[in-house]
Amino acid sequence: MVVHAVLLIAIPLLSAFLIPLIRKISKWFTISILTLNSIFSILVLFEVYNKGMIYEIIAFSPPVGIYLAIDNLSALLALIINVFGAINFVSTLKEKSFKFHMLYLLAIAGSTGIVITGDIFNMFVFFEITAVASYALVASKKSEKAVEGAIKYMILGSLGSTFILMGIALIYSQMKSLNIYDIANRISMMNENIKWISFAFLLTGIGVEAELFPLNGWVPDVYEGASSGIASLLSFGPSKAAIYAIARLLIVIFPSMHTYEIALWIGVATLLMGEIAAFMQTDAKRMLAYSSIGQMGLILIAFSLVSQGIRYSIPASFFLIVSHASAKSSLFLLSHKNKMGSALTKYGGITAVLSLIGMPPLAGFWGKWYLFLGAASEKLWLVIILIFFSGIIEAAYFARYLHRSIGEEKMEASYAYPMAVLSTFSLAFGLLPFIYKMANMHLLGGV
Amino acid sequence: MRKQASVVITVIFFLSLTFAFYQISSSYNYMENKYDYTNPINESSANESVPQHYIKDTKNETGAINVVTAIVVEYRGFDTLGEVTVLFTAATGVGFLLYNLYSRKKNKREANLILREGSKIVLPFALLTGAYIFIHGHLTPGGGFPGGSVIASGFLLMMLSYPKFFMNEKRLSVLESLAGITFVLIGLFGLIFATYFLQNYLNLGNVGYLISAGIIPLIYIAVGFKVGSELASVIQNLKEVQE
Amino acid sequence: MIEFTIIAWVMSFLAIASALYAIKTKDLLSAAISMGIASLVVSIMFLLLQAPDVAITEASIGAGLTMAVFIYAIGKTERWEE
Repeated sequence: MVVHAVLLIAIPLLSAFLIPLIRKISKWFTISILTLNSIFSILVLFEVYNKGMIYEIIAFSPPVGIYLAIDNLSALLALIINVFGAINFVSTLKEKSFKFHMLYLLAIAGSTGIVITGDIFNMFVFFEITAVASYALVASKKSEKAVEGAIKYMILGSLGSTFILMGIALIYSQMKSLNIYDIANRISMMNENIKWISFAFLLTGIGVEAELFPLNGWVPDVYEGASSGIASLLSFGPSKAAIYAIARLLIVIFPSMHTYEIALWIGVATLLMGEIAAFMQTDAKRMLAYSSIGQMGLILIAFSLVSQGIRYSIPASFFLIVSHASAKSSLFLLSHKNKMGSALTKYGGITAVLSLIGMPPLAGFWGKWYLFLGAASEKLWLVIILIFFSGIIEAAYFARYLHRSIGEEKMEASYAYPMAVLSTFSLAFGLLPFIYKMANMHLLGGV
Repeated sequence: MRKQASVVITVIFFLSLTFAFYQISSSYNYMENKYDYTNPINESSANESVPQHYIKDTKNETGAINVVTAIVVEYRGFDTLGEVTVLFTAATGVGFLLYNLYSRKKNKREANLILREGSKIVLPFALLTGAYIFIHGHLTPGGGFPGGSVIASGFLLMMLSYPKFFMNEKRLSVLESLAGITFVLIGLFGLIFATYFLQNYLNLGNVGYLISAGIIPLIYIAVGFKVGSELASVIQNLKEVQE
Repeated sequence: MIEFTIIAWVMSFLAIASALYAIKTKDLLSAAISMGIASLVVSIMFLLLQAPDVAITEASIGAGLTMAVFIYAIGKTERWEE
């Protein structure tokens, strides 16, 4: 059977257009579409697992047209975004407005598009969809804090989009192509100065979405203001897609020692800033938001180790992404009430925290393990010490968090169940052996 | 302090852009051979650049005279679908956030006589121009986006001159959805009748005639309706909202 | 060719001047209007650079609809910046 990966994007778009015509049943329709998409993303994952890499041409064969290029990491990210999106939707069932459902579907479709497209301008378009949908979803709580966060996000996000567009225009002016693989093949012909300027622009622009230091001023306000379901969506959807876009930028388009070094130190700065700021927070949601920033720094460090530690870097980033996506989204759902009364919520919360601080055999442990191996193979002892240090800070504030949030009060079932299921993923991905083989396969461009 | 920092950042931004453009203009050579491209799927390479391909082969491959339209709708049709969706998302978000704040007050000031009578005369021409621009997108400059925005600005003119002018919200959104569904379905039929999403599966016809170029006019008509109704509904939302 | 150069210089000067005025002025309404002027001028530039497609879009969206959105928003809030 031929799996058309374009349906991963086309079906949510079609149903988002369809929802205004069937307002009455929009909730059930959205649930079924999200489920369909999750099944579909599993099929795509198996296809990639068997074939190595799949391409889907759209309209014309590249580089004249556009194509989708799905490597192992993007298939896994598409799976995470779609499956988690379907599970997380349960926590937002209270929302009655059909427009909310449309925006949710569009955010999922956009994030999926970022990870599976093989065309740099197409990536920008999906960035726009994701970003615009996220602004509206953040503001959907309509409290003062939510609107403030959304406006900050919108201003920074639209500046970031401008930077991305400028970077793409500079690349196109030199390479006369927008196809990522085509650009990567001929990048050595590019004028050195323009290459660096476009790299800086693209890193700045995508860095806003990927919560990198120093472009993450919006993060705490947005996560604090948004409702729990949306904060959870943002933590596994757009930010993960953006960090993967940075990985494509770094590993496929601009592979050189200097870019790796820049990414490494930006990652370290992001990690330290996030973890130290999280330690100093008293509000649970803000603490989780800063902790997210720290984790994004960790993932960027993992991606930047590809020159020597390629054997470890890709699995490390993959496990870190899985661990962070599942654990952090589950903790954001927990932060709705922030009390772990029932056994289910206790299980979910403790699994999530253990995965984040890296306890074997959860996914977070494997992530940090491969990260240390990768850094050791590059002989970056200072980085290893800093990661250790930040891990200790992380453990400290998460211990405090657990201590505070254990209580008698119970959460609604619509939050408790998705939360438990989401944190189970970090357990499952840590235990399944085929994941390692999956994570070791080749990326786009044959790295 | 903040102000100085922002000025410094802006200056750095513009200086780097200027430098980049200077570099581009100093190394610009259009027909140079170094722009040969590689096909990423079978790794074959061809001795022409993507822009050269667009200029040379557009008429044969898509049947459109307007190369810009051919690029926007055919070669990069997926991007257009995405851009339409961006606009759709923005319109939905505006409607979603402002929905509860409606109250239609009647005490709005009337516009003056010249504006009222003038807009009556101009409106049909604005609508006709918009429709012409998007229907003839494959033949003359313009297309769905410009046409739709011209239509929306016609309605904006009506809103300015008649404060009580009001478009039915529900009908607008139905029109918008139908246009969007048409676009995606045309793309999906490509998977069924041909091989790829958004592939041109209709007869290309006589190049230069109104009914030619396969799916391009159909998509552009859908885009025109969609953009027009979206922009109109955004403006109406903003006009009707009360603080 | 010389006419083209003169028009291009005048247009660029106008665009930059109206953009700067939009930043400087405390009156939000005139800021919105000068942004509209900037887009109109830029759309003429697009026309001179032989991009009529972009010129039509820029004229109707930049100079028409965006300005209307700004003006409606200013009407709901305040006209003067503090």
